[in-house]
Amino acid sequence: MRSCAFLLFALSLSSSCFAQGVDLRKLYNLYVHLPKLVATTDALADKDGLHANTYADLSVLILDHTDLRLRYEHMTRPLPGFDSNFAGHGFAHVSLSQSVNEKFSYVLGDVYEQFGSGAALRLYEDRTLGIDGSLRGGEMTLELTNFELKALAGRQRCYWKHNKSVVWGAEVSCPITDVLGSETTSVSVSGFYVGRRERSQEDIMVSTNERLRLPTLLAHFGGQVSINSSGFAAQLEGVVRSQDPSRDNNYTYGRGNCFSAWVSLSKSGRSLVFQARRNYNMSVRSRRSDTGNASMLNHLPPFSMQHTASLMALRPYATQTLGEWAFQVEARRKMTKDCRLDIHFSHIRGLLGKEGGGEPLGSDGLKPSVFKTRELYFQDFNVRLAKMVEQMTFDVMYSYQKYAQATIENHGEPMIDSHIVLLEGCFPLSSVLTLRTELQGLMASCGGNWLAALVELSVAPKIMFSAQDMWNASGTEGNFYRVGIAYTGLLGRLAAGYGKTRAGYNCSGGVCRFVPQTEGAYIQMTFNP
Amino acid sequence: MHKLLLLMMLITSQLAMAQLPQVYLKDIDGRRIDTSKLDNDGRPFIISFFASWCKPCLRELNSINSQYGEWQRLTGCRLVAVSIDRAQDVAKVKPLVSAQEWKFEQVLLDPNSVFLRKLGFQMVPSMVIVAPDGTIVDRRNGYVDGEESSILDKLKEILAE
Repeated sequence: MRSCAFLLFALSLSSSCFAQGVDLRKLYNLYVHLPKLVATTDALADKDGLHANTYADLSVLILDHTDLRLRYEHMTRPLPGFDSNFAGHGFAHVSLSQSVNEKFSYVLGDVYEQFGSGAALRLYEDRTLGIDGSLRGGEMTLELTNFELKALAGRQRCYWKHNKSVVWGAEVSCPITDVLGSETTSVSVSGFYVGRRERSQEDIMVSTNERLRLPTLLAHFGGQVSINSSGFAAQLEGVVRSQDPSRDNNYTYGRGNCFSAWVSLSKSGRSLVFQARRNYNMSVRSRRSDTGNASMLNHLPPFSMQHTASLMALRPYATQTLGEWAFQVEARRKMTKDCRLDIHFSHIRGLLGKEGGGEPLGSDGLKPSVFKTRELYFQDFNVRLAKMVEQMTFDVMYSYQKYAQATIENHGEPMIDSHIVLLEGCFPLSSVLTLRTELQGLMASCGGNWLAALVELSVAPKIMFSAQDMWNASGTEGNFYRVGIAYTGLLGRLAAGYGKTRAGYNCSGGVCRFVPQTEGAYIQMTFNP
Repeated sequence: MHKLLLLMMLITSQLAMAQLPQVYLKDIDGRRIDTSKLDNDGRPFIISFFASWCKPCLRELNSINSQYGEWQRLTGCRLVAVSIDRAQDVAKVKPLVSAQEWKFEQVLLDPNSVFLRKLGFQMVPSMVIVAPDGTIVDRRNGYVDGEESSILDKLKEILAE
């Protein structure tokens, strides 16, 4: 609250400078331009008081290609679902980046980066999950004829501190299109390496007088090949890692790997994508004793459809980094001028015979065969038909999901089968009024049946009213409602409302955070002029 | 000290118009693009961030696509769509563009959301409208059904200036 009041005061002060004719603009623009402040607050007021996650980002462009960035975070009472480690405030991000010339650029300070698809390295930020995996150190990028080199090093942020381990890495990528001389075909090849030096900070005992010797230097490396030619595209990627005993793999000494491939065919009005991935022991962290979402260096999103409808996302899948084989197919086709059909299927099976973490401490871990698979972890089949009638749009979607709750959540049923239907309609009532409605139904083999409804009334271009309810038709969990209003203006966006949210997993890209049940008033504000 | 820095941040934020930051991205055909060099030959253009799984994003872009020819005739604008799909979902972007028959000239891939973050956004759909001189003159967070007409009005306003 004090930070919000302070921000409002500073805003009025800066406005008064112009009212009095103090034109700092001319002076600043000699050297500085693009100063930009973005502030966001996500707050909930419930019976326990006010919880808020507040961020203020400032970026300043100096002398063209030099960019200074600061981020201040204020989470003294974070939102429910963010544990006590998140509580605090301070400048969480500081970076200075410069493009020296067309060939060389660098970043000093906090770095975000991704090598390949992210299976080797993905340093990113996701505020809904409380993830900030930046490295505090530096990065340089070198562009030479026909290849690009990136190299970085630093210590990874973990809540309000930085882990003691040092992480470094490099990626070389080479677009060989120019070499081939083709204008319609592009091929790129890249290789990457990530290393880590982590001195053991814990004693892992295998017996009363035997302690595990944990490796100090760890590494993983890999490569990617991508081809793009008119309507055809394909990619192959492989990553292998050294022994890295950690809490995730029960301190075993097996080497991890991840191999993925995809092929897509695209033509006007239709497309087909086929993907496959096998990963084993690929949870890579900058601190081996951490769990949950802390200290992750890589990112393996789930090989399943990302659903946004509430009942379709009721049981979201998260990649089992101890081992899985995953397949995914997606086909889209325009049936007629106003009618589209999308079909999606994913199938994910385990590599190990036991649930994760079962191998003896200090062993070499299971060495699963390359192609043999075990129990089903997750499967979904989705069909969507979208049709436009005059200005109205209608959407019908059916999803059949199989979810191994006991394996994925370590509790509950061995397998939950769900049939879910979504009916959606969008009706323009006038040139400024649009009504959108959603009706969902879920029938599950256990955990109860659900109904959900949503109504949104948009008053273009700035206002939207919404009301939704999710009701457990089996009567075991009650109903969860939410009403709200959102306003988008010149200065940003403001959304406010009141509601009751069910306990469950909030997932983004397969990374999940458990959120307890909440009931109260919420405000989400983005100041982004 | 924190309060002083915050005060300085807020005052300096009022002072200038924004330019496009420099980020190297690939388009859906594998070509490398420098975002600071995006332009439209002296006419305004739009940068719209989306994801293949984001329904409001697809509603917005499908709606603009249905009027795109008319918009170009009236304003000469163009739209650069930037996908924030990550990892293996990047494979779905080009097929989505083909299946939806989008007419946009450029579709870029931003799998680690670098360009999105540098423009001050965190979520999709988000959009900026860029004036002919390369300055960002309009920013939009979220999507309200039917707001496309206000985007067209803004493009016309830019041209009239």
